[in-house]
Amino acid sequence: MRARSFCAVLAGVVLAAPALHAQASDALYSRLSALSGWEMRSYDFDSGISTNSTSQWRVPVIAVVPLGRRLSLDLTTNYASSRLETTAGTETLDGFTDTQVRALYTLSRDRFVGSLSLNLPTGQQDLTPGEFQVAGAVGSNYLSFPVTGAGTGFSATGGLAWVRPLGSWNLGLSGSYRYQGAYTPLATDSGGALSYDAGSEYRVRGGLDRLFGQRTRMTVGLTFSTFSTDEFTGSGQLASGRYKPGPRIIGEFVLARAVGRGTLALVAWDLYRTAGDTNNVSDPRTQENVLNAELRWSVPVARRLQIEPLVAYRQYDLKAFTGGRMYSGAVTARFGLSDRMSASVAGRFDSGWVAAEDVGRADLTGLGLTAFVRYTR
Amino acid sequence: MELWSFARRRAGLVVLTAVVAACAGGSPPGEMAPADLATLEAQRAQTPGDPALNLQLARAYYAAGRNADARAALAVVLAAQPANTQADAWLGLTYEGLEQFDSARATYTRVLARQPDDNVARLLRGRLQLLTRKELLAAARQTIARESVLAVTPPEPNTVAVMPFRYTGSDSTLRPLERGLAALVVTDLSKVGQLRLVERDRMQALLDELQLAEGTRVDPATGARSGRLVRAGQVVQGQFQEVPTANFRVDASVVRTTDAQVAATGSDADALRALFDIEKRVVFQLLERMGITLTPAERTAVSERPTQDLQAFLLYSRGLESQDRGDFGAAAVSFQAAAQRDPAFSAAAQEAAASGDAAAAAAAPPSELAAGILGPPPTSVSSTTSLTTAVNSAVPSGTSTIDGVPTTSTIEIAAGGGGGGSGPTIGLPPTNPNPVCEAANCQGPQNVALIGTIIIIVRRP
Repeated sequence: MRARSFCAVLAGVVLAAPALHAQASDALYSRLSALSGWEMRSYDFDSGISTNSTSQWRVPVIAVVPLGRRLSLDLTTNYASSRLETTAGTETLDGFTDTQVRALYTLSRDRFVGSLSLNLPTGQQDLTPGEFQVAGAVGSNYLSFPVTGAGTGFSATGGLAWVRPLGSWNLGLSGSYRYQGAYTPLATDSGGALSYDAGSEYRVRGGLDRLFGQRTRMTVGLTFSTFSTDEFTGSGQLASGRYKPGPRIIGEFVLARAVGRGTLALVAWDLYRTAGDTNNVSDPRTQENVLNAELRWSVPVARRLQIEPLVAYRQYDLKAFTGGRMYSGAVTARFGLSDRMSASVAGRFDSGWVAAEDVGRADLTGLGLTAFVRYTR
Repeated sequence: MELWSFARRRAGLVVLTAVVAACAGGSPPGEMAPADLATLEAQRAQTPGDPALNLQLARAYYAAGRNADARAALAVVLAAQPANTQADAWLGLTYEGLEQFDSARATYTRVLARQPDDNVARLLRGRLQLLTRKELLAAARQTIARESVLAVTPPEPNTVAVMPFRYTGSDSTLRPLERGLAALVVTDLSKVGQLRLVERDRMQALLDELQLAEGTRVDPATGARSGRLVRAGQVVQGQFQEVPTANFRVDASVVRTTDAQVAATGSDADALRALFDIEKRVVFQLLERMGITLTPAERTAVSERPTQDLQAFLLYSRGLESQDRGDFGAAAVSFQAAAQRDPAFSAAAQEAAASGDAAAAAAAPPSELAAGILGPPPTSVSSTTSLTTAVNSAVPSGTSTIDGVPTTSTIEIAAGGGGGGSGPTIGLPPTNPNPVCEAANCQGPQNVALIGTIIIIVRRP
């Protein structure tokens, strides 16, 4: 049923595209684009924690379609397969993810955009305890899995984004409200089920960017999110409770400079989440900070070939203990296949460690492979 | 393990496919095929002011030889992005195609003033060298076309043109001295304040054009006519040869262009190794018989020898010969060899550098110049970019993944330099995480047991 819904949405978008894309457009995304391919991430852990490895591959399907002069529609979904191998056995979670359909409407060209995003529940719900463990494993903010869980029910997000020049700077302000519908993330063999009614999210972001000289660009941004209280209601053997997530703050910084024929960029972000309350009691385990810094060099090596080596560092801290450190290296090749088709192939290696409260510490190695093809018209 | 084996095999295939695809691109590097025009023109009809699209279109027009259209498209680019150096580079090439050499020179000079990297600066200097040759040939063609007018225009009496000397011997290794001796005489006479010299390469271009136009070898009889064409009042002609008694002999004369009469002569003979002494003696004879009295400083200046090394001078002369043929690669080799034999031979070193630049520029396809140019800043601060970031941060979607795979045109623009429009995408943390994990503190695989604990907690009565 969910797969049919997804197919219907996708078909509608694609069929609508040819008739409308050619019109001159003020839309933020004014060209029809589609992307698919294959992406895999895997982390192996040495002894020290109960998990031996976690891996995931996905096939994303993403399309952006301009509709008329001011509107664009984008659609994102994945088929994902996640796997968790622990000392107790192996669990998997396979299937389509939810489908996000987002409409962007240009209220004022290059100045003001309104957005409405719907999360269509095409992803798996009613997970078994084993599948739920897999979904939790790939949901970490420390590791970089492209799909961070299973189906999360229907939600709708409305937002506004506005930008204006401010001297030599560009100032961007945006905000959104997300309504999250209830869904059933977990169901047990014995007939118990957990209904989860996640609270709403309110998000605001401020960003600034500017040029320094002719070759250097700097971007800074700060996003603040706050949440209302989640309610989870159990049936059968599953009990009920409340969770009030702590606010989440994300800072971002980008400094890019043209060096020779390439671009050298320092990209950093920090995600900080304050402690939330479980059943009205503060839960310090939920406070976390993830710092990520990357140095990238994008250099064209041929007319239609661009190479981007990258080194990265990630630091994961929790209130009670140090969560982990990770050092990464990656190379991405981007190339044009034709005037309308481009592709990206990337390989990534991670090395570091992760610690778990009251459990231990384990070294980890990660691998990532990506092959995407993009079509643009 | 099976997953890994599969992944590795798959990755190998993907990489191989990527390499083959990248290497098998149909068009020559950097050239837009004229067949792309229809597509690009259709796209421009939708977004006529798009700088990236107009730049692509300009390249396609240039490849199709539609230089006027290319110039118009580049005007759109430069109106939106005045600092787009890549567009300037294509504009220079387009001006060359339109034979608007002054504009091309001004454009290249403007780009050079922006201090591009060494390789680009070399290509630009080379293009300026090539441009000089094109300008000289074009000027020569115009001069010949206006010969009927120039024939009745009085020449400038103190302007002197020097014809290549004529070698009448049989030793082909000495033939390059035809240019070398002419260059020496030009250098010497230019140190005389009363005289104004026509540049050797300008005269050579004219002679080359006359030869092309008439299919006949240039001989001394054409001197007066050639001199009139460059409005010189006097023309120096000469010849040299080996002779049995003294080894080497040089004869020269000064011909008035108004009546083709000989105004002065000079000659000398000596061993070949005394070539520079012979040349100086001939020059002094000519000056004396032209009635010119040199100041002591002028005499000293004329007496200076650019080199004492005959072999170095022969190599230099061979370089001039190659240069006149338009073979800058061979010219650079000869000049470099001359400069290596005699490091004090500054003219050889200068010509080696200039010819080397010209050879590099001549060998490089036009797109290489544009590709080497530092383009616009990494990503210009356009309000669209800022707005896109603001929108995607507030209401995330998969478009950030799409943005991470730039379009072919964006990659090509990046290949044009400076990272262009496909700078690094910002890999921000997941801002749309699993809400259960937000609530239950999944914390990833290290705390799988903790998730189990939460389930147990949920099961509590």
